Amino acid sequence: MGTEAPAEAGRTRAIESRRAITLILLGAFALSLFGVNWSDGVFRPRGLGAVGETLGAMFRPDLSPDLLSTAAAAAWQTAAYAVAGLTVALAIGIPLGVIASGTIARSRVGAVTQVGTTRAVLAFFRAIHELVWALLFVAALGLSPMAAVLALGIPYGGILGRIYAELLQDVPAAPLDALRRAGASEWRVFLFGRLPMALPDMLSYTFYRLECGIRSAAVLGWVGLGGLGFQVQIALEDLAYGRVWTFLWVLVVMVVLVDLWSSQVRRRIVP
Amino acid sequence: MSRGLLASSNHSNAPAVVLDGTSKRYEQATVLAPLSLSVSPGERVAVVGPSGAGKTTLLRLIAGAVAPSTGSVELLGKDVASLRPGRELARLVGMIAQQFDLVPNLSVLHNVLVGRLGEWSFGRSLRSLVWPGEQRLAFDALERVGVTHLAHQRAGRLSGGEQQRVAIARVLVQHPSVVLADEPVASLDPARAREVVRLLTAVTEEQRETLIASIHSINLAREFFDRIVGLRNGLVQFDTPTTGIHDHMLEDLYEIEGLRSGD
Repeated sequence: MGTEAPAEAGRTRAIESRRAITLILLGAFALSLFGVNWSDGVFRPRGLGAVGETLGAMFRPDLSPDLLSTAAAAAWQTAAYAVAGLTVALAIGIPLGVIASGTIARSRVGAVTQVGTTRAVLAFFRAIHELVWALLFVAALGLSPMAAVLALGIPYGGILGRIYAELLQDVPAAPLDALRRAGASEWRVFLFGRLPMALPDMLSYTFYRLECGIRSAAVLGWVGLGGLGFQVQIALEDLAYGRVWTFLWVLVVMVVLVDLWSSQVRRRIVP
Repeated sequence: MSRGLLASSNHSNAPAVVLDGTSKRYEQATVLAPLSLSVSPGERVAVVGPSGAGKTTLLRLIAGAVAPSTGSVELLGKDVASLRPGRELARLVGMIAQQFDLVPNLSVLHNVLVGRLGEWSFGRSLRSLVWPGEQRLAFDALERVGVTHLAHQRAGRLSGGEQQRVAIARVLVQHPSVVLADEPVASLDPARAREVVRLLTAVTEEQRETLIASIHSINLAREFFDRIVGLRNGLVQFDTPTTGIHDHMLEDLYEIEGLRSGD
């Protein structure tokens, strides 16, 4: 009893101070609302009309055959960037992710070194946004598809590698112990235990990244690399919102298609 | 004592398992007091006792999964501490756990062939992920535990009883000299538990393997094992042939402290 009382009191104090901080922050937020210039600081005058026009076009996309064929070509280019970029990302993410998981190291020292080095490399790859990579590669390689593919592949490789490493680490331990007891080396434990158990999550995350890749590839149009983003940009400059929405809807359809494909594949592989 | 080459080359005469003053302590807590035990090849030993008695620790010591605090563990005359984990140990000792140690996303066939991973080369292991090798061996084992029809199912889709049969098939394929089973039927209903224990004792006997199993059910221990070791609070309470077991021994073993029931 005597030893429990101080611990209990400490916990109560911690809860009380957390509540106090919450109240102070809420008060600060409420006060800040008075500092906002609501009349013309937040909304642009006549902006509401523009919002209506932009959103209204959502239901009236331009569906002329000419524009649809332009959209199809742009979608194809964007999809090609996304798929090629993800291929580069897989080539980076799979080997580095496996090493960064530290699960195939022969010794503890080896594991620490491998995990530290590869995690640092992966962090460097993904710390820089794909748009920034794109600007760098456009400067180095010019406006070539190669620039787009590398700009997507490098940061995505960094992201995939990190997630793969964590998924490979977080598999149930009991089956792995059973493999070791059957005499399997760490590589065999990896092949027959870790990889099969992590694979469904690795796959579904990769599909999610393909979705993100399509979005990112579209945005690469803004630095001049073509595709859907480039078409959206032109349409926006013409204030032709109907055309803008044609391209955006195509983008939505592409993402939904990837999602459907992903759930198909997942259904087959999940036990 | 028998650590030399002479002893290890002479398997047939060495006991399957010898514990000599073996104990296990974690920090201050003594999980297993020093105990000595000798198990002959082919013997079937049931380890019984209340929860926390040290049954799992005893099996893990024999499996070489934990090192003893004092004393030694010898398998067929070889000190377990001197064996490298991996193939060498896997040839001497295999283990069946309570449950949930199959790889759920792999087929039953693959899970059974895991028992061969210690023997296969790396190339063969890699190839077997796609084209499983030594399938006849695996199917033979599956037939003996009665689940051939499940060979191509994913292990995660099987019931608890079926999973334990697959775990038995895996250890059959591994074919170690000593098979350990840690509460192999704890999560099964009585009818399935009996069937799995019957299978386990039958197939290990066919392969002339030694079997040591911790088990909750005294009835199953009496029905299928040659010898029963009673553990309580890390101490061996009795170690007798099954025929020599008496009800009062079991009452004492499972008696709840400070609560004497029945008299």
